[in-house]
Amino acid sequence: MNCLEFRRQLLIDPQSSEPEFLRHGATCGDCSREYERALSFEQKLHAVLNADHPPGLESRVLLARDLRLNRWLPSSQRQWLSMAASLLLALGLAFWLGPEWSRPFGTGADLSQAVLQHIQNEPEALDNDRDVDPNALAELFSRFGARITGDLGHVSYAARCNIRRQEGVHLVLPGEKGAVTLLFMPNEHLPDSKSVRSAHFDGVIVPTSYGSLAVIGEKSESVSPILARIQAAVDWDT
Amino acid sequence: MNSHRILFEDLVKSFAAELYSYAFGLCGDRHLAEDLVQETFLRAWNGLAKLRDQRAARGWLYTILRREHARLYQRSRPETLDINDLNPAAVTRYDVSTEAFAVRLAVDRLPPDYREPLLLQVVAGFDSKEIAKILALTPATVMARVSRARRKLREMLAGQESRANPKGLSR
Repeated sequence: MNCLEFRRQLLIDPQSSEPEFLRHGATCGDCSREYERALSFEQKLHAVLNADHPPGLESRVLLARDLRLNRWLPSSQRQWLSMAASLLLALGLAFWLGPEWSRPFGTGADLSQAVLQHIQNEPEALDNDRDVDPNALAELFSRFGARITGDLGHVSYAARCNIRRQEGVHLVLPGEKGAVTLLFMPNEHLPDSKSVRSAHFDGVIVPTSYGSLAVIGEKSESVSPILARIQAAVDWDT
Repeated sequence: MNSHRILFEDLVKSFAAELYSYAFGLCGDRHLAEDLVQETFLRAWNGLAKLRDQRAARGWLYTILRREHARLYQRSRPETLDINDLNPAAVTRYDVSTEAFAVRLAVDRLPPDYREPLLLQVVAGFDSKEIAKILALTPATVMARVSRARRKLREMLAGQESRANPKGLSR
């Protein structure tokens, strides 16, 4: 490699590890000085261009995926989402009004059925060993005007969810028997606490100042301590 | 579905930070850079089933981000102003107290055709072939562009140096 070729390569990639390039840079007096200058500039360039990423970026990306927040989507995609939402609404109305299909959410259906159905529809939420970032959790609750004021403990899943067409917060955390689901349901007002039992799950739905809170564990799970801890740890502006 | 979730989370943890640097290099705005990274990953999530070779994931993410940035400019071209008219004290996104400011401004002044391959080389560490694939160019064109990018940077910085120090006095 001659000096001209070396200088050309220096502009293309000063960090090249090509043996001939390195040999020339080490042996040619003029070129080695130029090589040092180029490497020094390259270091500055690298430092300037590698911007520090904002803290919690990864958590916010994962939360955006979980929440499927469409505020980050471009307007064209939002239009598609709106159309899809309209279609789903139309299907939902047909489901609601159809005589054969009126049972699940009709007058006979209650909140506990909707809660159990929601849990069964999202099995991946229970099978998750992630540790949800506290900042992401705080952001999630803040969307509902709530604040985390105490210790929620380890939370393996957190997402915004829809139950009976009402938005709420879906959390999963570990219990004694397995994963415990918590559904914060603003606007779902119950007169009294209600036990929830099925072949696989045991739990309770309690009325709160903002609506209702469901705490559902595996069969025979004692959910009372978790309920008390969570109620003390989340403060809703009501 | 679960394997997709795990793969996606691995991609986010592995590449979000460096994609942010690339996005910031492209747009020069921290908030916009974060939006670009989020949009990139949301698109990646939707297209994850199409990713056949996980070793290609990194280049794939850079390609998505670059397209998102191009879309952003198609939708709304931000106001531009001559970089020489900028008041350094008002440009809070830079470290105005150091030489880094001058280098950053010089990089911003590079034409996009030169800036993009340089960012992919310096920030992401891609070689000419990889950059060529992401930018849909030939490796020879990539080499020519990064070479011109460095030459222009030197010219701009030498110009600033002589303006700041017209009598050639050493600091």
